[in-house]
Amino acid sequence: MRFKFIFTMIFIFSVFSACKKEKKEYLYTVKLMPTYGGNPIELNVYNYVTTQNDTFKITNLEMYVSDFKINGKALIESKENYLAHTAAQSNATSVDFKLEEAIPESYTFEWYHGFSPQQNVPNGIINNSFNNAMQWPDVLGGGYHFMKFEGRFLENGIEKAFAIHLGKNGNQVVFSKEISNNVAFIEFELDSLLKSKHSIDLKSLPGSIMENDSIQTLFKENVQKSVRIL
Amino acid sequence: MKRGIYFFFTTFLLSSCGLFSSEDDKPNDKPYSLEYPSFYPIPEIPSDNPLTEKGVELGRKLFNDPILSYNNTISCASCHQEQFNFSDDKIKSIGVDGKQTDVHSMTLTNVLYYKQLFWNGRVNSLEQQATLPIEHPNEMNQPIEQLIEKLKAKEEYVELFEIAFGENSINKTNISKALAQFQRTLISKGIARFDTFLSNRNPAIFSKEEFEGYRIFFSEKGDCFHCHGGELGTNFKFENNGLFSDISNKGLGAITGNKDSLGMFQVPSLRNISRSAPYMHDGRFSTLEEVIEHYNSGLKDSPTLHPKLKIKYDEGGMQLNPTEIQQLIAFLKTMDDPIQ
Repeated sequence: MRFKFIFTMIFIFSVFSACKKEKKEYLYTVKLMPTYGGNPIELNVYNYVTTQNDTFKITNLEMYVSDFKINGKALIESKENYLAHTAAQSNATSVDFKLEEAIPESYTFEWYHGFSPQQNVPNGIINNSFNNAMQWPDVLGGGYHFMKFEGRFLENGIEKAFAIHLGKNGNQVVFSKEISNNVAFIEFELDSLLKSKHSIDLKSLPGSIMENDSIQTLFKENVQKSVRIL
Repeated sequence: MKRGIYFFFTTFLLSSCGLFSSEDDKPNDKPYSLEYPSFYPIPEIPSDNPLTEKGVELGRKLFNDPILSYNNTISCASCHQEQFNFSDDKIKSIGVDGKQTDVHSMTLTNVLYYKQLFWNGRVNSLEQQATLPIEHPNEMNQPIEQLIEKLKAKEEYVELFEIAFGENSINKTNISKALAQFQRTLISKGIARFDTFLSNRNPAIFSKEEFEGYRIFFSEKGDCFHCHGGELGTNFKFENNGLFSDISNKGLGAITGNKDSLGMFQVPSLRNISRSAPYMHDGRFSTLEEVIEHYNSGLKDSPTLHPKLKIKYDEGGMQLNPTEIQQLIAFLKTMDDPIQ
């Protein structure tokens, strides 16, 4: 009889053990907001003027920030350690991470505009339809577009198009910042992208930017002064 | 008595953990094993319509059955034939009573990856899409209620629906679900020569002509990849590719009411492209040469023309010479699955 009791208790214990256990999770949020003159971007409206007096509108804006680290340690060890900003989202984009460890009270947050060399390879991030369309062809170095910034501007009243596509490992920019809460809010100032170090004249941009290393470098240097954490 | 208590207590615990459940009163929901190449995007399957073996089987039968049309003459497969990349070879498809559709039949290959369906994106899921051609007056012209009655009158369908979705389950929702499930299985096989390249990223797989075409396609010379890049040859978006100068009331914009999306149509996958002719939403081009010539010299400007094409337009088009056009076509054909 005692044997049956013990057997039953072991069985019950094993059944309970098989049931899912709740794990403690800590939420961490990364937000990205592209702005122009400190305001959220408005698509398809001739709202903007460059320092070169180009009046322009933005028709598409897509970009990545990635490889998030807290005190030098990856936020998560997976292909999902990134945040994609898509054109449909004209305000802030955010991604939540569920962490197993609590966030330190004060820490250094680190990230890439674009991708690290390790991630900037074919299938370096998860292969969903958005990421699939952001691939940077192998012929041009492989990996992903870090940014697609497209629109139209007026030249003597005539509409022309621009398509600023940035990528390549040479365009990577890493940032770090001391912060003290569980939200990293990154602001990307598009107006600075067009003027922060090099003043961009949309009229003189060539049609083929992806293959032009000097223009990629020029934008990289502007990107360095276009990003801040709020 | 104690034995009874032990038994009752243990059974209660097991039930609470979900280890026991009665299968007698449930449909056969054995999951369907969806196979796709490892380097393809991860498909998103809606949680309220998971693929099951019986659901896909039912969907396949419905897809191929002319019972879907009012006069039992047209099935989905009439306009979405496997030999034509699940499209057809007509400029406009022929529906019931010889009526013509408004647009060219879209290929259904890899349709599971699209978040909006039809050339103009008028629905957001395959479940929403599935019954629209059935009721469309130029396609199958059959009210769903009438189809439901016809299906209920067929013992075979009563059984198939019961197995797939449970008792008394012939209704619009489950017709849509079954058709959607089957359509999600229409994935290119991943055995094209382009797939061999994707699996090892070694362009040595290509002939010299194909390799030159590959370089045109994936460089800013051809700049095909911005809309047709990735593993499936599409960016899954809606774009204006310069077919019209007048874009009023056309494409996605006619659905959204937003002038900024006028003239935009679904970017189709280039998988099995040589079997998908004619091309474009209106089937205006009958050969790949005509398609490339459009980008070479036939682009039309309009306010929503894709920015990369607008730049090309202002530069005078793609400007490929005849040799380069043939190289590009040779590369495009590497995206065809071999016929088995």
